[in-house]
Amino acid sequence: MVSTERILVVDDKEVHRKKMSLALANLGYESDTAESGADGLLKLKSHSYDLVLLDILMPVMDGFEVMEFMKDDPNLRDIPVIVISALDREMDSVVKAIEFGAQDFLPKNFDPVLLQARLTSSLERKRNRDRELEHLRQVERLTDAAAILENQVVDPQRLQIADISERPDALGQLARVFTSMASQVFEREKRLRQQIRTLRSTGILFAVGLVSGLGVVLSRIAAEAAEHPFGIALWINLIVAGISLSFATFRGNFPKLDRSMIWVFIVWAFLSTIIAEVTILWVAQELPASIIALILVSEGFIVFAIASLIKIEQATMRRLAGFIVGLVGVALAIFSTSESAAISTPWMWALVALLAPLGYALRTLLVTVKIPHDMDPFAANGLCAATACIMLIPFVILFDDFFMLSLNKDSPGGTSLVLAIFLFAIISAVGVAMRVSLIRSAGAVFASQTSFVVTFAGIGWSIILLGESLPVIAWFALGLLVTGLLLVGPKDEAEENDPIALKSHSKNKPAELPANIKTATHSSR
Amino acid sequence: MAILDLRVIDQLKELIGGDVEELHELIKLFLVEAKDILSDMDTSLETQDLELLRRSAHSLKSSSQDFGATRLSELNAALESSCRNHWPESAANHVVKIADSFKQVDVALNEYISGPVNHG
Repeated sequence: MVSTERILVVDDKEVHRKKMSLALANLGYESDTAESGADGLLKLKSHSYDLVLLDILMPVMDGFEVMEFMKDDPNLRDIPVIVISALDREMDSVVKAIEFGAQDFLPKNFDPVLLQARLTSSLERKRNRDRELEHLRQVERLTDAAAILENQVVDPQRLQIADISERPDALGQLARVFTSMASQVFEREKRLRQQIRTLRSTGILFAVGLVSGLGVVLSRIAAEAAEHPFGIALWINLIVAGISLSFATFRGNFPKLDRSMIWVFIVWAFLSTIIAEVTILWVAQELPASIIALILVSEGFIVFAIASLIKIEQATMRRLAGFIVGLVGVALAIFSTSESAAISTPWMWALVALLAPLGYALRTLLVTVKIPHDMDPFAANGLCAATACIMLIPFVILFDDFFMLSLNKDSPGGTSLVLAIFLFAIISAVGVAMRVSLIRSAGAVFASQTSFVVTFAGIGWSIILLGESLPVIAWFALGLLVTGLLLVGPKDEAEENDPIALKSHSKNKPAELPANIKTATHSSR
Repeated sequence: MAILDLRVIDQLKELIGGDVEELHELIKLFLVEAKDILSDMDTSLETQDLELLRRSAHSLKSSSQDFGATRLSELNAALESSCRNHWPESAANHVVKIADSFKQVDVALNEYISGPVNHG
């Protein structure tokens, strides 16, 4: 028989220790020896033993004292002790030892059968006691887990009852029921939270798109009233800075700026104002708002192209195909201008208009990476607008683009210009702040899908407010662009390993989550 | 009464798993420790140390029993029980008898170890 149980032999005589060790080894037990009571206690405290074979009569510290120390130590109390005694003449000692807590006794001239019987019986009792203690501890842990479950929804892994679940008995069954209940509630709660997040993100996406689409139309109105793109941009940004920073201050969220952030705002202002806004205001002098809106849809493709290049997203075959379809769509949109405008080289203007979605795309990526998540979106937008004002001043002076706002009918632009500028500024203040919070909650790629809505809203507003109409070829281009964007994104299951993709994925695509869980469960089988 | 009960030694051999080498080691260890105990007994006689005398007799009683030295064991048992309450008058006499008996056991056990009959 081979046993993993370890036995400590405490006896002051070497010949007895050696005899006992050999006898134990013969029965298949591992043993250790101690030459005095004190040595025995030291070994008991520093090692783990399943049983002690203890001589009673020893110099300095006898067996009774050893048992008294063991009884006082909670870690040693449950280790069974068998005292060794010359039975015939030491009956009193045996009785006393059993009163002291010894489980059994062994006569000095024991034979192997007796030794085996005594060991088996004591070790079996020890195993039963250990099982009882373990059972009690597990019941206690399960009770704690139940108390936690009653008060809050937790990830079942945090209950740490997996080992109890493996028990084949009723306690194991109870633990399995707990774990399954906890995971059902946890998953349901998680799905619910994700659904709420997606609904909210989609709502914001549409709001941002509708408002920004109106911005395109207002740009056209302002550009037709006054051909001063830098001047208009300056006024718009002054108003946006005023509204946004006042609002942020009112909410008590005026940001503390550190120096490294100044460059971020300079780049942000350059991309969104100097590149995108001024371009729109400039080309709006020549191109219909609906065509500009059509070109703005390219933002989605540009974000994808950059994200693939800097490897924060994967370029799958499907997405590349979508990108190519999108490029054809953009080319067709540019080509379609030749049929619409009564100007000499409308496609040149349309090419220039591509600067706007490029600026917006870079802006979206910059905001994703560089703007701290705890900064108030209104404050961020206000600081960007204020930076833009300072950057616009040299251009305004250089192109002699400054003009005064006046409601006087005789002043250049008149009422419609002032109205367009104020409306544009208000929707820009609200729209950009919403977009910043959308990028934060939903990620850059999802946020760049705004361009879909901007385009549809822009075309819609142009038809409603300006009475424009799109040529047939432009509608065809729109169809290609939509198809391309659908192929490119928003997200794709293959990107789950990518941290950025994963972040926006898990937040925005709860509908796909059950599929993911299914995959995970499948692979674990 | 025989100096050495060979059946007891056979039982001991069986108890430790039948290894002759180990048995011989154990016998040698017993002889060394027994000599130490005898010298403890002499010391206890000089210092009139009742506890040391009693413990020595107790130890030698049980170990000599293990090795079949029945007479030696009996002599020690008698000394031990005479030490229960007070210093025994016959202590010196007991110790001399025990020392004599041990000499015979020592010879017999050494013969046992070197005897060809017991190898194997």
